[in-house]
Amino acid sequence: MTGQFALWAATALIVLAGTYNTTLFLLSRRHIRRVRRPGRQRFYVFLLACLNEEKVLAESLARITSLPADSFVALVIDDASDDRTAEVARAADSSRVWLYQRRLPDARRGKGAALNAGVRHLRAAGLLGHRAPEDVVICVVDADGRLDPHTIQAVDPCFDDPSTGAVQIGVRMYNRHLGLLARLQDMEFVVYGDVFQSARRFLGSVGMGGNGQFMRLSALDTLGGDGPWSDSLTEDLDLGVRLIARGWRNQYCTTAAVSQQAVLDVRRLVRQRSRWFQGHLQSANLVPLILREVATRPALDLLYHLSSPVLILLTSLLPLSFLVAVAGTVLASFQQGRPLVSPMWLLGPYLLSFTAAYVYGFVYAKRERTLGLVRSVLVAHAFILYGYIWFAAGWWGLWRMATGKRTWLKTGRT
Amino acid sequence: MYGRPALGTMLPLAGMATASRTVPGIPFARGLQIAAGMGFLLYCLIAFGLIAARLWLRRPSARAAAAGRPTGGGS
Repeated sequence: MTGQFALWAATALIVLAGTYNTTLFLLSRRHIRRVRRPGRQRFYVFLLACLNEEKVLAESLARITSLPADSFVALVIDDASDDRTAEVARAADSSRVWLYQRRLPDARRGKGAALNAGVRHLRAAGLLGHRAPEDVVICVVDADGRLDPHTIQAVDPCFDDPSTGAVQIGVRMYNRHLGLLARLQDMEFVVYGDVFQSARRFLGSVGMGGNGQFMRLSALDTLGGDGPWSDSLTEDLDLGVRLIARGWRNQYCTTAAVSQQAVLDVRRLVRQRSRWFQGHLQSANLVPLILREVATRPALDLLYHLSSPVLILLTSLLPLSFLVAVAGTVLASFQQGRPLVSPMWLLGPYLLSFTAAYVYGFVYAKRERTLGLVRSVLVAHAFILYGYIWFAAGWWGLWRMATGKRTWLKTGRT
Repeated sequence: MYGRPALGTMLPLAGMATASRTVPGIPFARGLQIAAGMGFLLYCLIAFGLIAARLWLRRPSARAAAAGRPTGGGS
């Protein structure tokens, strides 16, 4: 009886995830009409925390310095790199690119610490002049990040609303044409942005993503502590939640994106995701803050989001169960000389697993028009299987957490 | 990014309910599903606890106390 009840609970686990995903897809289809209000000119500072980024930094800086806007600079925070990172920064347009070099032993303490040092340097060196913090927007860009040319024009209207603390833009993979794995990562970020982040605009729970993340300086100032960023492995997630808790509104901008480099090797991808997963687990310490400070609707969504690693670990048992059952039944079929596998065993899982592929394929085709709807849906089928990477990453991340490993597993560039 | 991995194992579950227990692997597969279900029940229990804690933390008297003023009625 208890076993039967638990079996139904496993079913409820699947229904919960399906219902949540469907609800957010429907919400994401709603449009927000934004009316531009006349406002003061804002000053944009692009922060690039760099640890050995000579391979990708020049292209990123070239993109930033060619943005068609007047009031912006890029601050390269060299986190004690061994390579030519500082040299690359110095070679860029000096009127637009500033370099701040950190030294050991203070350096190499994670991305959050580097970004905090960068913001402190902006103030200590007087680089912001007399600008009011509410008119200064800090943007975090990864060293391999390539911003759309119209990014500032797309993001700026979001800050017309004085309650806007941060804006996240879309994330794409610029090397998405280099094989299926890169294409699937591109689809992952498009689906995450166009479905989940877009829907969260209506729930008040938009998350920050670490790359293409714009924040009003006055909002960062309200976070207190040694600096806005924590030492969490997913400092972006952490910061987004804390901004919401301080009463700021996070927005998601659907009309601009930053492109980054997709990982082209499965093992490195799983390693990267294990770091994200571990950081997500660490973010459980935000739960009391959410319970106390955040309004009900965003609080429920944030709690679901923060607890999703637990759901992933639980869900990972189900495909394993399926494989064991099918393998056992095929073996028994051979032993008994007659097929014991019902076609329903294959049709049912297909419908349950791959119905989402048609939805994700539709969403992706709208972004990637050259691919076409049919090919997009086919890629989305592979995308469903790609989701299993999270299972491996999840157990690895849990193992690292349980064994007390908290080092920065930086994903290498190619 | 989370919450979207493939989920399809429900119908095999239903199939397993009628499958012969002599089929190799079925008891283990069922055990995995039961473990997932029990874990989810525990998750729900904790979720309800958290929601109850939130209601308690955000009750009017607690919020008024946090703001340092009396809980209504009196001046």
